[in-house]
Amino acid sequence: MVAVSRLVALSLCILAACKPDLVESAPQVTEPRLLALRSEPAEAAPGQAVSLTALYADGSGALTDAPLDWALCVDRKPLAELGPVSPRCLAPSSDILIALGVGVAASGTMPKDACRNFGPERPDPKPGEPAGRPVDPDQSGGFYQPLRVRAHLATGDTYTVFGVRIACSLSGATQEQRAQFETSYVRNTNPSVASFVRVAAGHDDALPPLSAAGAEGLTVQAGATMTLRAAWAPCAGIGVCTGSEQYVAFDTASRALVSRRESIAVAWLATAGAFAEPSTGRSEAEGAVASSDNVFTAPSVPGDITLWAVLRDDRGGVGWETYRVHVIP
Amino acid sequence: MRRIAFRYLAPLLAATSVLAPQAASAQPSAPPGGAKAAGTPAPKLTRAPKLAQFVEAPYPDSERAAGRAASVVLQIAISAAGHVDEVAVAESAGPAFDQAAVEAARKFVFEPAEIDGKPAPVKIAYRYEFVLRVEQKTTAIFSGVVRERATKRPIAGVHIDVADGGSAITGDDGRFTLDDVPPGKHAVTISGDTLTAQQTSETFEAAKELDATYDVTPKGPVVEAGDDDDLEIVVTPPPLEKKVVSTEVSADEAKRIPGTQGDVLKVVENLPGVARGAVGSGALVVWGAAPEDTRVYIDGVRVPRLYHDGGLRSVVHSDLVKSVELAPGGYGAAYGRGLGGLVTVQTRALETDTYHGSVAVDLLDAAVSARAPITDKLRVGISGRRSHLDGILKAAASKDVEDYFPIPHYYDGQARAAYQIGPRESVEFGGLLSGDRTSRSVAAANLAERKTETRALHFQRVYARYEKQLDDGATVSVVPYVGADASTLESRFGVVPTNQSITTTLYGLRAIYRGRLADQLGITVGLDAEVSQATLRRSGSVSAPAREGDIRVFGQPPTDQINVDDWKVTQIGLAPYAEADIALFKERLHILPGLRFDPQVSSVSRRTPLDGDTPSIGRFAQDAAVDPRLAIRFAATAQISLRAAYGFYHRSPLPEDLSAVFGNPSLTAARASQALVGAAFRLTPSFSIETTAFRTESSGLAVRSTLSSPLLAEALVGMGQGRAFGAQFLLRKELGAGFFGWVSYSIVRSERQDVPEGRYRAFDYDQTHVLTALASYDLGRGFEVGARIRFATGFPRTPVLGAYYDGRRDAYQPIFGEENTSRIPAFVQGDVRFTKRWKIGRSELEAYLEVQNVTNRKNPEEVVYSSDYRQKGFITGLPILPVAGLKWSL
Repeated sequence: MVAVSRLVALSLCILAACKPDLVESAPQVTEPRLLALRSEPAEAAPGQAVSLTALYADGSGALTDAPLDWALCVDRKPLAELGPVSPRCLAPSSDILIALGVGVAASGTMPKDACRNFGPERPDPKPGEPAGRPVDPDQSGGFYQPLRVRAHLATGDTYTVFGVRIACSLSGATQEQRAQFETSYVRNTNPSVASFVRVAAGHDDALPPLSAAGAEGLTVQAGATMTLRAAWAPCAGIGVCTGSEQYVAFDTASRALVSRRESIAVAWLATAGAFAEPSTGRSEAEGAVASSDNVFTAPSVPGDITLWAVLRDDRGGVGWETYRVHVIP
Repeated sequence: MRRIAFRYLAPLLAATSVLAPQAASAQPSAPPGGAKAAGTPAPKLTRAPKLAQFVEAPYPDSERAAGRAASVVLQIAISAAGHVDEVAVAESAGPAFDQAAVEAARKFVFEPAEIDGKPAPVKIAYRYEFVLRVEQKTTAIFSGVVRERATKRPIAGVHIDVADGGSAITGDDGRFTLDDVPPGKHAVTISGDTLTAQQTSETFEAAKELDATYDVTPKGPVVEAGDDDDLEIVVTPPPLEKKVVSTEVSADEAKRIPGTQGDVLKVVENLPGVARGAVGSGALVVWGAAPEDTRVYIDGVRVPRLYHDGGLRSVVHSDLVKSVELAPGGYGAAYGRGLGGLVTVQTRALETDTYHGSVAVDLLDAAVSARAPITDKLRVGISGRRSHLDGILKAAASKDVEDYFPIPHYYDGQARAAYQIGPRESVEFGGLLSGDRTSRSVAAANLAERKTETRALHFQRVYARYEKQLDDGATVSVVPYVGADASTLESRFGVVPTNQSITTTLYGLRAIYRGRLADQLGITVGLDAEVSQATLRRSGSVSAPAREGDIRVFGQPPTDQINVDDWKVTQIGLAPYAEADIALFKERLHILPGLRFDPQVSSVSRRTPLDGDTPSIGRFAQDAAVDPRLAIRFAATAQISLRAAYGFYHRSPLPEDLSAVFGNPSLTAARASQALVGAAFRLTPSFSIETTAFRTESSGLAVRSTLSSPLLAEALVGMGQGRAFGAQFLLRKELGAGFFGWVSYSIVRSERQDVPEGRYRAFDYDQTHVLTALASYDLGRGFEVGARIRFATGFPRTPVLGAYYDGRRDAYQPIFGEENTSRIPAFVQGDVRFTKRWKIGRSELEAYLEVQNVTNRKNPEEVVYSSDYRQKGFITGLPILPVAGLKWSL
């Protein structure tokens, strides 16, 4: 049987080759790091004001003072570029950057030509040439205004990019479909964590968010393993909801308006301890389930630690909550 | 050895002597009692007996062997009814003759004699003559010797093929003999591994022997058939080949090469000029050309691939393969529509003697083949293969093993029916099919890491091949074929789907006439026609599937911006071509000019992306390419030959690149020029060295637009340039005394320029050094051992200098350095093969064990990074792996 197993293992290596065991960075926050960005509203029309917030933290927890330099980038990425933004956006300053300020939060106005630069409208033609190609939408039919955040750190600058969803019209649809879309589409709302609990036999222990008044953290033993569950609001029908929303989208394959539901991804982060998975979630097909579980192993050293659950939906919406855990011997 | 075939006729009865008065006399038998009545008149023979039924006596073998003739005088007693009552020897010619004559005479039947008008018994003397006669031959004997022109040394192993007159192979003394050649003028082809195929004609007379001496110039270091790797110039009137540089390997050699698992066509990977393919890809990269630029033909029928997925097996059963030839460049006008190399597979003629077949099984698959002559003129063959690796793995591992590893599923089959219309005319109908499917999925808690992918490619071909040899030795070949290709790709990377399906109906016709206009001038004219109708549908990201030149890392998800397009493409190409072979200076110099005129018509159903309910407007384009080609071969000495070639090539845009959304419907043909020079040195009759230097340049290649706002329907632009240059070397020992092997080495630099005036970067498949050394030795008693060592420079990759965080997709994105300026570490691997064959009656059982990567070296095959790109590692390929197999052949 050993021989058979060996043969199977070898055969698999032939077919799939043998992948190295790379040490993936654990979802452990030990040094200053930008964990998430959020725009409010989650989907904004050209010319609309937006408020931008960062979840910036280190080993002590979330930081309220951060060396974050915010800017909108108006450079469209090359068609062949696999990254989400033009590489030119990753610069301290440039004529393609619209500075928004410094800190853990910033605000600005969506460029009026956002749907032309980054949306379904064809860009302005160059002299003597026809208009160029519009941007392709993502799976949810969305278009995004690039945002870049530069963190000034002692070890050097690091960059984070984000996309603020632009409320644009449809690309490739008929006039009738566009009209129907305008009346039935509900702009995205950022998701939020409705509850965060430790799943236990018999009863669940709810963790209040750190922002809640008088919140007491959960007390666990050092090295203990537990299942944590992040839940969000169940959403029924098309409408404003802070969970897995249903929305109308133009399906480019069938060239028809269809009803879809957001998938929700949950990123799990902690200042100490380890999660079994850095990210979990529910796909569109699993959208009826409004929660996701992960296994957390508490650190072996007693002390207070901070946990974060960051929710991301399909349409660029982001929400998070912070929790405190007391680790005792 | 000269042999004259005499045919001995059967013994002949000298019937003329029967009852001849001077040779025999009738003796009336005495009346009962033996007394004569006094005064009774003596009975009178009124009618002599007459032989009504003659029986031929067998000529005694001993006497015939001794060349003796004889006559036996018998005394035969004939009854009143005409039956033979008794036979006695009156004059003996020896026991063997006597016995044969007596036994035959006993079976004689006579019309009875009459005495006084009434039937009566009589005795007669009968002379039975055995005459040794030589049959008058109605055919001619053709014998002769093949010698090396310069040294007059005989050459062994040369094939002498007389059109409709059989074939022979020269012995060690260089001589050959064909006993039964029909009278008349016949084309005679002289070919062999060490020779450039040549053709002449001879006139034969019945019952006469023609003794010929052929002085030929062996091929230079380049071996055209089965020899080396590439440079082979085929010449001679009328030329049989037009490839100045090519390597042909016979099936018998190829299947013994370690690492091929007995698959004949996998030998191509070991030939000079061929880059080592990425693990599991099966792609052929020849002289730095893209895989899709190397065309594959099986008996003149174009097929989309040579290997199944993973490169584990070829698409043709090895039993049906006679040889495979790779021309990495500089080939003649007979082929086109490709910018890279040319692989031509020649299938084996179906046997005429009796039925043959084989059954083979190993870890990967099981295969069967059967061939049989149905009548003297009709022969059929069939073969098939199906993979079972998936079943083995599922049985030995977990049931969901396929969810994690892309296990190839494949099958292929071939069927052929050949009919000999006349002595110089034949027709064959055949079909071949192949199918591949790989599927895998990665189920992860992280939505972004959930991946599924299914790839499939199926193709079928049905063809006919008509061949005729004309009285003047010229040949005509016509191969019409029809086929269908269907490829699909369905994948999902996180939430980003990718779907692509291409269904193509293909019609082709290759017609060739080869003849001689004068003694020193051979000519080939032909038509290479191809019509394809493709229906395509694609959805997903523009960046998936990845293209050559994409700056990316392995496993990097595509952009999440998606689109959809469906379109149809029809391409029609009718390419007449002509080539000449001008032989000068006693055939030491061959000049082969060729010209291929390739008008193309294409239509694309959609010129711009679909927008609402706006009707689509198609695009129709026509183009014509004139591709001149020239090859020269010069036999400087008997051992040294030089060669050079130059030519232009072009290729129509791929249908998948003509999408208004993902490509560009206005793409035009890409063009290339190829130049090469080479020399071959034959050290001994079976040992040679050859070298070739080459340079290719291509333009009009479809590349991604680098603009941030490309024009509508211009996701691809035809402004890519390419260049490749280098040299290849081959040291080859042909099969002899149970040993063969070669060492091939290629040094190649292949580059691409994506924008005009831009930097030339390394081609994604560029491999600077590729070295292959292999050998096989027959130990006797059915044992054979072989080994192969390979070294290859790693493929270029773009270094990752850092990363930034994508807050919307919760993923890190790489920051790249200059494109393709680093490489995967070099590949080094050794393989060994042990074979044992047993003769079981007329059949043979072969068992083999191949151990791949005997040193268990962890060869890096691809670069991978941790999710934040802080760590770098390598996917390593094949560990040490023994693969055993069995094959039973009849």
